[in-house]
Amino acid sequence: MKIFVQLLLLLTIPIHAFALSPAELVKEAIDYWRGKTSYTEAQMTINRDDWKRTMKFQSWTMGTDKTLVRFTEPAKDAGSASLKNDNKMWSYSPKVNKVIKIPPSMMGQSWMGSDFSYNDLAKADDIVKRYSHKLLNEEERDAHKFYTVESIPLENAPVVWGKEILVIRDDYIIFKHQFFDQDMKLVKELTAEEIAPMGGKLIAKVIRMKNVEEKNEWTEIVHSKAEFGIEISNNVFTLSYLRNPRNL
Amino acid sequence: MLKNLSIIFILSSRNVLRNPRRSILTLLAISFGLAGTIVVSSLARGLSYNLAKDTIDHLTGHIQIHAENYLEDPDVSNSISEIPPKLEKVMKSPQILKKAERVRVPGIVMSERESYGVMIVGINPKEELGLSFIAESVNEGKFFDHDSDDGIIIGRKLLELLQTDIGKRVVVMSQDVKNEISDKGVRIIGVFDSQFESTEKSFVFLSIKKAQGLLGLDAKISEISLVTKDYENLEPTLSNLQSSAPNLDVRGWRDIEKFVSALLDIQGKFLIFWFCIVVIAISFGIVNTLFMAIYERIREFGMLQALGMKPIEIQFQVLIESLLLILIGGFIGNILSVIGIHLLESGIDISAFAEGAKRFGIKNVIYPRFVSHDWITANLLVLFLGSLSSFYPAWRASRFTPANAISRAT
Repeated sequence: MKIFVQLLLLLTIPIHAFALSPAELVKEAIDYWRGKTSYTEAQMTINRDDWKRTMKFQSWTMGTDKTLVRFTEPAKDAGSASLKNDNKMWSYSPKVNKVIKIPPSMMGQSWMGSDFSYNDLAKADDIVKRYSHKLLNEEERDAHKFYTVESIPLENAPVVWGKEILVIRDDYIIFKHQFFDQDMKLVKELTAEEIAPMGGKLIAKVIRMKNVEEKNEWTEIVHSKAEFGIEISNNVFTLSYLRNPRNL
Repeated sequence: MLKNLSIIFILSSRNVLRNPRRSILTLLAISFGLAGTIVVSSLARGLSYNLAKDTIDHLTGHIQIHAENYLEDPDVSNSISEIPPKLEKVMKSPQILKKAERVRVPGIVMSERESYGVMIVGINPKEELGLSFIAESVNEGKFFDHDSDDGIIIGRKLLELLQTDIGKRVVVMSQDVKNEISDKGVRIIGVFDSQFESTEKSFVFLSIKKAQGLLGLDAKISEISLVTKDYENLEPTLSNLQSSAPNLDVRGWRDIEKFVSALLDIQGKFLIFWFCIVVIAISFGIVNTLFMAIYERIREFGMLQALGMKPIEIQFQVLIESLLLILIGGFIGNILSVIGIHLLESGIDISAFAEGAKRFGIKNVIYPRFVSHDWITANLLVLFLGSLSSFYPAWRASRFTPANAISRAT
C-alpha cells in the first residue's frame, strides 16, 4: 500500500522536465515553442539610439524546417516576406516583385533591420544537433524549476559562437538564450519578457533580442495571436506562395 | 683618302679640345642622359620583374591547368576529375620543376560579428613550398604539415575584419557538388601576411583533403599550377601540355593575369618611348654644340677649302668631331650607369608611400634589374640618333664658299 501511494505520488509529479538529459531538454523546449504547426501574429519593434520602428507580421511554421513570415504593417513593408525551407532562405519584396534567395554570406546579417539575423530564424534547430549540452544549474523560483543549460558547439559545427546559455523553465518555455563569442563575452541575449497563455498553451508572449555590445539596441516581438497544431497546407511554404499569397 | 682621314681625325680631336668647357658640358649632357636612361630603365625593369614574380607567386605559377569553363565560372562542377595519363607524363618532364594541385572555389567566412566573401583554396602544403607565396608567408601560428590537416589559414587583414583571432573558430561556407550549401566550423591555425592587402582579405587556405571533404569533391581538383624553367619563354612547354590534355584548359600566366601582362607590355613600350625622348634631347645638345663650333670657325673652313680640302672631308671632320663627343660621352655614361645601379643595389625604399604602393601591388623596396637589351637599345639609340643629328651641321659646314668665308669679319 505504501508503495502504491508512492507510485501514485510519483505519477502526479509533472512528467515534463523530469530526468531529461540537457540535450533532450533543449530539444523539448524548441519543439514546445514550435509545436507541430503554428500560426502567429506579432508586432516587432526595433529600437535604436535615435530611432524606433514597429512592424507587424504573420508567421506560419511547420515542423522544424519550414517557416514563412509575412509583414502586414506598416504600408512600406507590407507584403515583404521571408521563407525558410530546410536550410535555405528566400525573401520577397513586393516593390520589385522579386524573390531573392538569401545567399549564405547574408545569413549572418540582420533580418529586416532587426537584431535577429537570418541565421536566428533559419538555424534555430541547429542547437539540438550541433552542440554538446551541459546542465549548469537548477533553481526553484515562483513554483517553477529553471534549468540553465550551457551549449557548446561541436568542433566542426558551422557555428560562430563560443557558447550559448539557455535558461529553460520546467514547462519548456525558454526564458533566456544568451550568445557568447569565443572569448566567452556576451554578444546578444534573447529574453522572454512576458509569459501568457495563447493558442491553448503558455508561451513567451513578449520576447526581446538585445545586442549587448551596443546600448539601447534591441528588438522586441510581441505576439498578439497564436494558434498551434492547426492545419496548414504544404503549399504555404513554396516560392510561388511567397510571391503570390492567396487563400489556401 | 686614308691618309687624309688620319689628318681629319687629328683636326677633329683638336677641335674637340679647343674649347674644353663647351666639350665637357656636352659630354656631361650625353653621359648623364645615357646613365639616367639606363638607371631609370633598370629600376622600371626591377619594378616589372617584381610584379611578374609576385603575380606568379600569387598562386598563379607559370602555367595553370583547369577544367574547361572553370575560369569563366569557378564552380565546383567545373573540376578536373581525372588527370589524363598523357598529361601526367608531360608534367614529369624536366621542363617542369614544380607542380601543385589545388581546390579553389569562392565561399564565405563568418565570425561572431562579420562575414566576408573569399576564395577558399585547398592546398597540399608540400607542393606549395617554393611554388606559391603561402608556404613562406605564415608568420603567426603554423602552416599545414599534411594535405589532410584540420584548420584554416587566413590573412592578417581578414583576421582584423572578422574581429577574430588565431585559435578561434570561424565558419566556412560554400556550394558543394550537389549545389547545396555546405558549411563547417574550423579553427584558425595560422595567419599569413602578404604585401597585397587584397590577398590578405580575399584568400583563405584549407588543406586539400579537408576542402574536398567540405565540397563533396572526393579526389577532384580545381586547378594544377606548374612552375617551369623559364617563365618568359613558355610556348614550347605550353603547347606540349595542351596537346597532351585536349579536354583541359591549359594557359600560361600571361593569359591568366591579362591585366598584369598588359601592364608589363605597356611598361616595355613606355621605356622605348622614354629612351627616344632622352636621346632626342641629347641630340639637340649635340647639334647646338656643333653649330656653335662651326660658326666660330667659318673662316677656318674657308681657309681649309682654299687650301684644297674637299667639302666631303669637311663634313667628315665635323662628323668625327661629334662622334668623338658621343663615344666619350657614351663611355662615361656607361661607367656612371654601372656606378648608379651599383649604388641602388640595396634597393630604393618607398615605404613612405607604402600605403598607396600596397594597393597597386608594388613592393616597398624597388631593386634595379639590369636588362642587357635595354642597355644595348639605349647605347645604339644615342649613337645612331646622335650621329644622324650631326649630319645637318656637317653639311652646313661644307657649304661655305672659300671666298665668302675668308672675307667674313669673324
